[in-house]
Formats: sequence, structure tokens, C-alpha cells
Amino acid sequence: MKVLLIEDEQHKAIDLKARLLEAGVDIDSLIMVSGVRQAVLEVIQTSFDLIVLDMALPTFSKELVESRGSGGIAQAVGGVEVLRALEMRGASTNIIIVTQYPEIVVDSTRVKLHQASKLISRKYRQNVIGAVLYSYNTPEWGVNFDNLIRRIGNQTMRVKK
Amino acid sequence: MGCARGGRTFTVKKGGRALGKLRSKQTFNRPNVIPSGKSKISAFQKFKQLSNTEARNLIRGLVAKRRSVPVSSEVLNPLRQSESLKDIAIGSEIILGREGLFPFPNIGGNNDKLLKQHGLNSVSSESEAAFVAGHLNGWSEEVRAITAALGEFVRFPTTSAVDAMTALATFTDRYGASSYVARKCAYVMAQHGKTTETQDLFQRIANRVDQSKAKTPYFAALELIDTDLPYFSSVSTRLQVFSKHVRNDFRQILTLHDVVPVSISVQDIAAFLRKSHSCSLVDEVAAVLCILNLRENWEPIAALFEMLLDSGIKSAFSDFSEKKFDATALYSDVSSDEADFAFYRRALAFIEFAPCSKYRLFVDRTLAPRLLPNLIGFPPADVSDSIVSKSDLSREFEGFHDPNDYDSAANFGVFLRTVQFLKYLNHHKTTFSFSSFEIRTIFENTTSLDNLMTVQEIEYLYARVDDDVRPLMTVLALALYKVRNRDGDVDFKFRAALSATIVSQFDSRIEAFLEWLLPETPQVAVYLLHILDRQTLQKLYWLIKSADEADAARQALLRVVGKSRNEIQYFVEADSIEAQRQVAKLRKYFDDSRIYVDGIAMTKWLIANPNAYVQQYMQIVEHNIDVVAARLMSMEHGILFFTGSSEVSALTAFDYILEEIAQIAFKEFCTSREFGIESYLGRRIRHNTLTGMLRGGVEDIFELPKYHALRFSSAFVAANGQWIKSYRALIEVMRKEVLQFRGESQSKALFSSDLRKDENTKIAIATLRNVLLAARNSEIFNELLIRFCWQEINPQLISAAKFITVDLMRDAYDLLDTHLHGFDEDLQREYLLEVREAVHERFTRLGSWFRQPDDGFVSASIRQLVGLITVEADDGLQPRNRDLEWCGDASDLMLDGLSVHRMYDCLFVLLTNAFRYGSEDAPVIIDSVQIGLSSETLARVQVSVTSTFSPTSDRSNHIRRLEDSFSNKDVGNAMVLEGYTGIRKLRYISQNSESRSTASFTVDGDKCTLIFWLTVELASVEEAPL
Repeated sequence: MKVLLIEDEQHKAIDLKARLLEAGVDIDSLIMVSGVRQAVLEVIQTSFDLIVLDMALPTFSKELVESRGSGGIAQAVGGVEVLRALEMRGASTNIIIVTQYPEIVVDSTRVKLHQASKLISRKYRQNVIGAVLYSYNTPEWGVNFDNLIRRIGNQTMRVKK
Repeated sequence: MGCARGGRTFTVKKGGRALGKLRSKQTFNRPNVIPSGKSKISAFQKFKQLSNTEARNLIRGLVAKRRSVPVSSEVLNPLRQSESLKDIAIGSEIILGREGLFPFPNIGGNNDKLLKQHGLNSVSSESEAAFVAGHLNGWSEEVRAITAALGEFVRFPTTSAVDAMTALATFTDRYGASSYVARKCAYVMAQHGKTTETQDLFQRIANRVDQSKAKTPYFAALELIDTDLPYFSSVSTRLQVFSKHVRNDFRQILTLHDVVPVSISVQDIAAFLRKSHSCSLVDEVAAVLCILNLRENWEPIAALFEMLLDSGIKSAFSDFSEKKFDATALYSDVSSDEADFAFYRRALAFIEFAPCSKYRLFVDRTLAPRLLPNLIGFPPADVSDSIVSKSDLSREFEGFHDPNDYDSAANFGVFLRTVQFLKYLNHHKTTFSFSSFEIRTIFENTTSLDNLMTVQEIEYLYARVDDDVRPLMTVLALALYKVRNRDGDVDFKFRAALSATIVSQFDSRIEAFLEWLLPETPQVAVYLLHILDRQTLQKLYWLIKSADEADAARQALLRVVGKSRNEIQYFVEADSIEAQRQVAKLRKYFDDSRIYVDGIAMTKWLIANPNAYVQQYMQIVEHNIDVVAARLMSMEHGILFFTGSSEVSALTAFDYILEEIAQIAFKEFCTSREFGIESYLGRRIRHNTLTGMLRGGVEDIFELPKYHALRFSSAFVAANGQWIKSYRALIEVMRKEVLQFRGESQSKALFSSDLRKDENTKIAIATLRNVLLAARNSEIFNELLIRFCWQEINPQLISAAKFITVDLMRDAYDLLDTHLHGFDEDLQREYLLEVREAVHERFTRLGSWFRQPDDGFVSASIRQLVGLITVEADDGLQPRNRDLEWCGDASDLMLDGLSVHRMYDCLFVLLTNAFRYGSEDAPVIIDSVQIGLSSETLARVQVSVTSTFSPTSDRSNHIRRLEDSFSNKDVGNAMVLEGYTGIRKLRYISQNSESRSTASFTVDGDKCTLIFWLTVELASVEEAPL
């Protein structure tokens, strides 16, 4: 399963990576990016079975040499740019949104996480499996995330059969 | 017209739904004229002329109730629906005329009357014309006098400002407030507003119409007429503000009625007349004159007036129409390229004259549906009569000269070509197409298409144009969406399209695209430059790799355009970006070093403060503690197994001593007021920049011109005020309670100076011990201790960053939602989103400060440090232009090492005091000179900053404050306590660096100077500056 992990915060990225590997994702099939630009270019060039998407992102990945340590504009809903790129390319991908805030802003309107999947799926023609509220100091989010991963695994299996 | 005053006031009831404040009350002044016996006969004669029984019964009923029931729109509305136009006219006269049952001259009112919404029902334009004709007939004498007075204004544009205003003041004294007067006043003030004589006369008129209570009629007209003010954005703002109040027709709202000052179709005549009738008799007369000017467009309505108006009025109107109005005087001061637009704007004040009303009709029936989409509930008059050809649209033009020849391509200015282009699009709907040449010429010679073209038109045009014109269309499309700023999805689409064009046709070079545009379409190139700001450039993901590259691209674009147009302003902006880039690099260094510890000072402290633990431990280390072998065992099923061997130092047994040493060092590392984290947390975050950084660029979003419309909702303004108040309170809690070291009174503090004694601490202690053992050198012990401290504080810094970017940011979001939840209009949501983005950006930046500083130092000059501090002092959306004056030989000396930090901290104190307490009108003088000591690596630099007391400042208080700060002996606390001015910090830093405080101040007249000197380390000559 080819996975794109879009996350700028190191601790969160480490947690998510660990969960993905534990769920059986091959390390060689996992691509990690931390800025909107890198993510947009990645989804335009490559097809993924799953995208794990943070919404608040810097424009540029700070780690890249060309960024010279600057993330540029911090985009509170930078993840939406990735969704727009996917739609523009005509690709429909499994997506799990992982955010630290209980609401997402879509079309200038705040949307509760449990409503976000349907809305974003419809608006950007994607298959948003679910949205997880990440918390760095409580572990519950992990269970929700694992459940969503399992759901994608089952779907993938069904498709293969 | 004194009869209009002092009369009994009665209220007109309004039917339909409540329309809020605007239509809460509508009053008419009833004159003291009670119909005489003769007038009763006259009314009776009129009554006999009524043909319809219902109309007769209505009047009979009114006569019966006349003493007890006030007249209202409810009473008038049945009459207005009569099938006989003649009956409507007669009934109107019988009820509202001078000799009528309820005489209603509508003369002598104040401005607030113009803003009230009437309660008259919608009827056909013919019925409305009949109703108005009857009312005019009822006040024939006044109407004739007003018409004659209006005729006297025929020379208004060529009369001196004083004469014009004098005439207007006299007219207003007699007839009171009218939209007519408000527009004429706006015209004079826009043209000659700065002369004292006109100001006095203006004030006289303002007092007469009680303008202080209702400013809108004048200012709404001024916004439209004054060519120094933006037009389309102003209309867009008023549309956002007022469209929600429109219930029946947009003309009920005077500010929208002004946007389209002539009726643009037969159906529109009804609303046009209704509004004019409700405003004043003067406006009613001007409206009828305007309609008669345009009789060729609606002959039946003009004929109806001819039939219904009395002969005296018709004669007066005929005399008026003979007046020769010189329309060229309205634009003779403007270049022929722009004359057509100036004429359009100023014609608003002269719609009673034929050239103006005809020109406005010609343009407005095309523009009005685009400017007021969804409000024009009827199709505009047929505009297909004067569609020019594509070749005419793209031909050379001579500019606008003849006010009556507005549909000839030879007479086009930029504005008329725009109107004709829109008419062409209107007419050809989805069948238009343009060649490359045509589209380039049209786009280059039109204006405000981003405001005027519809989304469908732009998308259609984009889809239909040839590949070689597509870049141009992309620019326009992107601009259109940016101006409307509604749909991020479409914005993305066109950013992608623009990038794809530049990649495929211009080798991915944005400046090459601009160079291609410049020779033939310089206006489009400038437009592109305008929309490609630094933020948009960063979002061209396919072209721009970094924030730095976005800035470089913006500079390159500015220089390309500047060179092509030979205009210095573009170079100035490019240079300022370069200066900002340099400052940004320096800022990044300081942002990365806000959490800091002066390692040299701490080492000095460690040496100067040896303790028993250190001495004992170092003796153990230096006495060659042996390494002992240990066997590693494990137990399985109750049986012990040998699993290997390892070398274990006997020194491990003394880790408890090392832990004590580490604890003492760590406490000092954290809380030292001289060099510890607490001192930098205080001086570089809590005191200096935290509040400014979090508030700047967040609170002032509300001040942006695009959000001015929000100010019209008092509920939103109040809610926004509450949100700002709560946001500031949150920042104060962060400053005073959260970003602190824990203590008895600081339970919410994020930081602790106690060792955590967790796994991280154990590993760090073990590392410290092992390195020490390997080196067996006490000289590196202090350096290792400092490294240990960084290792120990690091989890706290990471945790603080998370707390700020997650928990505190969420608190800030919650405050925003608490106060502004429920405001759901487009502009309000757009504002909320922008504030949310800004809060996100600020908290992300704040979180990024909590990290270990980068190793090494950066070189910087005093000039660069001042640049950085100036940016930080004005950390908002619209930074002020600080006027700085430089003196001395040391401003460009490159400093290095800790000297950069010390100089930054000292300069920050001097400059923020100068900015905060000095006059904004006088420059701040920065004098930096080398004094005494100087070598290749060291120099002594004295810096003074001089500001001027403002005339209104409390000078004695400032001086006393300075004296107190300089005489206070407790400077040690200054590094951690957020004092009033930071002066004690300045004294402490210079004392720490030079063994004595080198700071002082002088006051000379209205000049106040703060001075200090420091011994500084110089960057080597080879070292590249920032």
C-alpha cells in the first residue's frame, strides 16, 4: 500500500509513522512530506493508496535544502490545497485527516470533524475515510486511527479479491 | 415656504414587513394651510372629474375620516391601484395637494428624511407617473418655482465654487434637504473642497439639513462623484452593506439609488419615481425632468406626463429643456483617456440636464446589472441598439471629447471602451471569440474588468481563446477571483493555470512572461505585478521553491516593470524587499535564539561559584577511577543464566553527586537573571515582542479597506471588540502566567528549573559522566554541564511549543468562535477566516521560538539590527514608515558573536522608547560612533538615540520616569521583570558587559537622548555579511 504522510510537526509525524508501520505499511512505500508545496507536487505526480493529511501546514517543507529553514506562509487550511490538487488531477484517493483541532474550515465555514469526511469527499471527489482528532498527551486518537487504517486494509483486500 | 414648518406632524403607516430601523418611522410635515371655502370648491370640482366609483368612494371615506385618521401609505395605496390613470392623478392631487385633504408639499425637510424607506406599494410605471403628476399639480406654484431655480443651475459647472455654493445654500434655505442638493454639494466639494469660503457655505447647508444626524446623502454622493476616490470598490462595499436591507426595490436605499441615478428601463421608472417622490418635491421635479430628457426611450410615459401635468408646469419644464447645459465643463480638467469616466461620475449631480441623463442611461443600463447583481429585478432596456464591432473595440481611439457622441469608437476613452466591450459580451452571450490582437488591445485599454465581468464570461472567454492569448486570460481570470476573493478553489485553479502557462511557454520564468506582456500590454503587466504579491507567489507551487525565491521573484518582476516603464517607484519597492529579506534573515536568527543562554557568562559563573560537590567529584575523576568488569546475567524459569560481560565504571556509584551538580547548574542555567533562560524569556519574549507579534497583523485585519463594510453592523463591531478584548486577555495570561518558570505563585507556568529525573535525565547524566571519564579533564567539565542543561531543557521546550501551537492556539480559536459565532454573511466569514489564518500564523511562529538556539553566531551591523527592531515594533499589516536619521561612522560596522545579541537588546530598549514616547512627526536620530579602543577584532561603540517629545506628551512624567529608572539600584531584577521602559535592562546589560553601566540620558529642550556604549567584537573582514 503506497502511503503519503503529510505532516509538519515532528512528534506527530513520528507517532503516525509508527502506527502506519505497525499496521503493515512497508517503509519503502511510505513517503513523508511536511509542506503544502511538496505535498501538492507529490499528489500530482504519484498515485497513492492512502494519504494521511494534516490540515494546518507551512507552505514549504523546512527540512529541504532549498527552503533554507523557512516554511513560508503558515497555511491554517493548507491541506485543502492538496485536496484541490487531487481533484484537478482527477484522482480519487483514500484520505485520513489527522488534525489537532475539533473543527476544519471548508469554504470559510467551520465544520465538525465527524461531518468533515462526507463534505470533503463530495466537494473534492475524494474518499475521505475519516478525520481523527490527534492529541499529543492522550492516546485515544491512536485507536481511532488504527480502526480507519484497518478499514482501508479491508477495502484494499476486497478490491484485490 | 414657511408653511412647511411648524405644522402638525403625523405618521404614515407602512404596510408589509418591518424593514428595521431604516423604515421604522416616516413623517410628513403638514402645512398650516387649511383648505379655504374656495379650495373646498376646487377640491369638489376635482372630485367630480373622478371617473371611477371606487376612487370616489375612497375620497369620500377620507373626507369623512379626515379629522380623525392620519394619511398613510395604506390610505394612498388603494388609489394608486386604480385602473384609471387620470383618477390616480386627480386623487393624488385631492389628497396630497396644497388644496387637498392632507397637503403634503414635501419641502423643507432634513437629511434624515432622504434615508427613510417609504411604504408606497409597487405599481406600474404608468400609475406611478400619474400619481407623481397629480402630486406635482397639487403644488404647481412651488413646482414651477423649483423648476426655474433648477434652470438657474445650468451654469453651475462653470461658476466659481463660492458662487455655486452660495446659490446652493440659498436654494437649501428655501427648499430644505434633497438628494439633489446633496449631490450638487458633493460635486462642488470634490472639485473645490479645500477653499475656506466653500467650507463655510458648506457648513451653512449642513446645518440647514441637519447633516450631523444623517451624513449619508452627502457622503454617499461624494464617494461616487469624487474622482480621487476609488469607484468600483466603493460600490462593491456599499452593495455588501446595504443589499441585505433591500426588501422591495434597491431604490428604497438612497446609497444604492445613487449608484443608478437614472431609470434604466420602463419598469424601473416606477421605483425611480417612488423614491424621488418620497425624498422631496425637489427630487420629484428633477426625476420627472430626467425622465422627460429620455423620452425617446419611453415615449408613452413622457406622453402621460404631457397629458396629466398642468399647463403651467409643462411650460416651466419646456423652458427648462431649452437651457443649454455645457457638459464638457464636467470633464475639461481631465485627460481625454479618462474624461469619459469623470463625466460618468460627475453626471450624477446633473441628471436633470439632458446630456447627463442620456449618457448615464447609455452606460448604466449596461453597468447597473453588473454592479448590483440580484438587485435589478427587471431586464435593462434593450442595449443592442449600439453594439460596436470587434474591430472598433480594438482600434486606436482619440479619447472622449463630445458628451453626446458616446457610442462612436472614435470618441472612446478607456471607460467607454470597457462599457462597449461589456455590451458586446452581453449581446453575443456565448458566441463571442476574439483574436490574439483583439484581446490584447481590449484588455490593455479597458478598466476594472475584474469587477465588471461575470464569472461565466471570464470562464467562457478563457475556454475559447487561442493558446497564444491564454496567458493574458489567465492573468485576468486570476485577478477576477482575487478581487472577489470568494472561492479558494477557483483561485487554486487559476494559479495552476498561470503556472502551467509560464512553465510551457516561458521556460518557468515569471519575469519572462512579464517581459512578453510589457511591450504591447503594459497595463496588463502592471496588473499581473499587482496580483502576484509575495503570498500569491509562494502559492505558485509549480514555479517557486521557497519563500526566499518568492521574494527574489517579486523583486525581479518589480525591476523588469520599473525598467520598462522607467519608473523609480518599482526599484524602490524592489530594494525595500531586499532590505526586508536581510532583516528577515536576521530575524530568523533572533527568532531561533530567543531562548538563549549566554554560555560565556555561565562558564564564568561556574568558575566563580565552585561548590563542594564539584570539587569532590572532580577529585574522584582525576584520581583515575578504574573501570570494573561486570557480568551480565538473566533469569528464565527461575534459573540464572550468564549472558555476557560489560565494562562498568566505578564512577557510576557517584552519579548521585553528579546529579546534585547538574541540579545546581540547571537551576542557574534556567533562572539566572544575568545569563539564564529566564532572562532571555523576559527580555526577548515577554517584554519585547510577544504582545506586538501576537496582536500585530491580527487585530488590525479589521482595519483593512476590504473590511470597511463590516463597520456598518454595530453588532459585529461590538462582537469583534469583545473578541479582541478576550484575545488580549489571553496574551496577558500567557505573558504573566504561562511563559514563566514554575514557582509558588506561578502554577500555570510551563517551565521548571528542577531536573526531571526521568529517562532523559538519566541518559544525559550517564553521557556527562562517560564523556568526563573519557576526557579525564576538569577544564571541559563546565562546557559539558552547559550541554547537559540544554539536553535537560529540550523536552520542556518541545512541550512548550506543542502547548502553544495546539492548546493555546485552540483557546484563541475558541475565543474567536465564542464572540463571532453566528455572523454568517460572506464578508463576515471571510474576515473570520483571515483572522483565523493570522492567529494560526502567529501562534505557529511563537511556538517555533521554543527551541534550542542554533550553534554559532551571526554577524550584523547596527543598521541591520535597527531595521529588525523597527519591523518588530510595527509588527502589523500596515507598518508605519518610521523616519530615521543616521549619524556617525559605526552604523555599518559588522559586529559578531555575543556583541550582536547585546547590541540588539540595548538598541531595542532605546528604539521602543523613542517610538512609543516620541513624536511621530519628528525623525528618530541614531548616532553611532567608535570611541577609544579599536583593533581588528574589537571596537568600542557609542550609540545614542534621540527623539522629540510630542507637543501633547506629558513631558515631566517621561523625564521623571527616566530619572527613576536610572536611579533605581535594583537592576538585577530588570532582566526578568517586565518593567515600564526596559531602561534598567539597558543598564544591566551594559554593566554586565563593561563592568559598569554605560547608559545615560539627556534632555535638551524638546529632545530626549538615550545613550550607551559597548565594547564589541568585530566580524572578520572576509566574513560575508548577511
